[in-house]
Amino acid sequence: MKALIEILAAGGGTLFFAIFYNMRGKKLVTAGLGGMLTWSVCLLATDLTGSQYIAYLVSAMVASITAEILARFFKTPTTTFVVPILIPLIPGGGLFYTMSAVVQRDWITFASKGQSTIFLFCMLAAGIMAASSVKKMIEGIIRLQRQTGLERRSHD
Amino acid sequence: MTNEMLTLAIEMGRAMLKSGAEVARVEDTITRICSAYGCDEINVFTITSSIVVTVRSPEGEMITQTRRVSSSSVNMTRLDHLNDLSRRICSEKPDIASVRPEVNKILREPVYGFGMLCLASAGAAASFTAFFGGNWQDMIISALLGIVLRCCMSALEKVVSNNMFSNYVVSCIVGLLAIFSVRLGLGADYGKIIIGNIMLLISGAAFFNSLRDIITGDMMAGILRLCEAVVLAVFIAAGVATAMLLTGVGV
Repeated sequence: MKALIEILAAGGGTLFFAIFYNMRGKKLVTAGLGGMLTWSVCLLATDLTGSQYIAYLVSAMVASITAEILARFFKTPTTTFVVPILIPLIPGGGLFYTMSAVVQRDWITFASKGQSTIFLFCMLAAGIMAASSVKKMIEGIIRLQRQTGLERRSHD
Repeated sequence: MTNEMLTLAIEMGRAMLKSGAEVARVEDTITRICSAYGCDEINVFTITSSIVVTVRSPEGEMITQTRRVSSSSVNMTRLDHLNDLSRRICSEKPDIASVRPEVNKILREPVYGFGMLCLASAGAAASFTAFFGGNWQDMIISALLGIVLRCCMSALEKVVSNNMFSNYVVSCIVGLLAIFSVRLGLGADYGKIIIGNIMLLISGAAFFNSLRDIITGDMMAGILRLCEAVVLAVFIAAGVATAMLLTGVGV
């Protein structure tokens, strides 16, 4: 039940966020569904691996790759989908609780929350970068194949 | 002729950068348009605040243009349409004079009105409050504060050009209102209400784009954007901290 609410809220949040980015029509709805997918993957990965950090890494990768595929499908720049779909992974809660611990001078909570927020940010960054690099590599392979194909044809 | 073409290319690049494109895409677009019109030796350097292009025209003349880019709101529809137009320019190579009205048309395309943005703010704030575990009372308060936040933001944008300061003030106001609402017994957990609202202020677009810039090798632009996002986050946290200290929630 809690998971369901979180997934629906993630979808809603992403959809409304996409409105700030002036997205419209089918792309707007797709972005909302993408946000739901991102958080579903994150919850599932947390459940399977038992680590929120690994879950963040995996879901950031899945979300970035999904965004790349969606961008191809809608023939639009990748940024259009990457930015809204990853929104649910921003550790806003961590930022708030870290800051709140400082105000309350609770240094133990500050250390643990601060550390986990920074780690989550790093995992998110690593996931996005890994997906982006893999995409570049695949593009490179396709280009190489096309070139060798052309060369072979010109030899015939 | 080449000068007009370069003006068009750099203007399109600037509009794309302002709409939230990565630096690599902007540089790629400008390079492709220039080479489609027969320029060679095309040098494009872009960071988030500036674009510099030098090309050699078909007549053999070196031409340079630069543009200062001020920050602006993310607009994915505009970016999408500009990208389509640049692809069409490269494949069809139309007359420059005929492209100019199309660019202006894209720049004049409608954006969501203030009412719609308020509604979206309310929806997003309520969604994120629920997302971080708030109950339905928190969601309602959060939605109302989302509207307050949007109104404050647009009012402040007219008065101060400093994005950091307006984020600080707005997050402070939201923090105060959230804490008062809990004191009055309207909301249950001020933390959840505040989180829902600060999610609206955190610049996700800058953060995600900076990472993608860094991985494509545009270090300067990536670091600039990342710095901007981190400094903004610090100011937002400071705003909320101020609200907590003023109301005596902390200490």
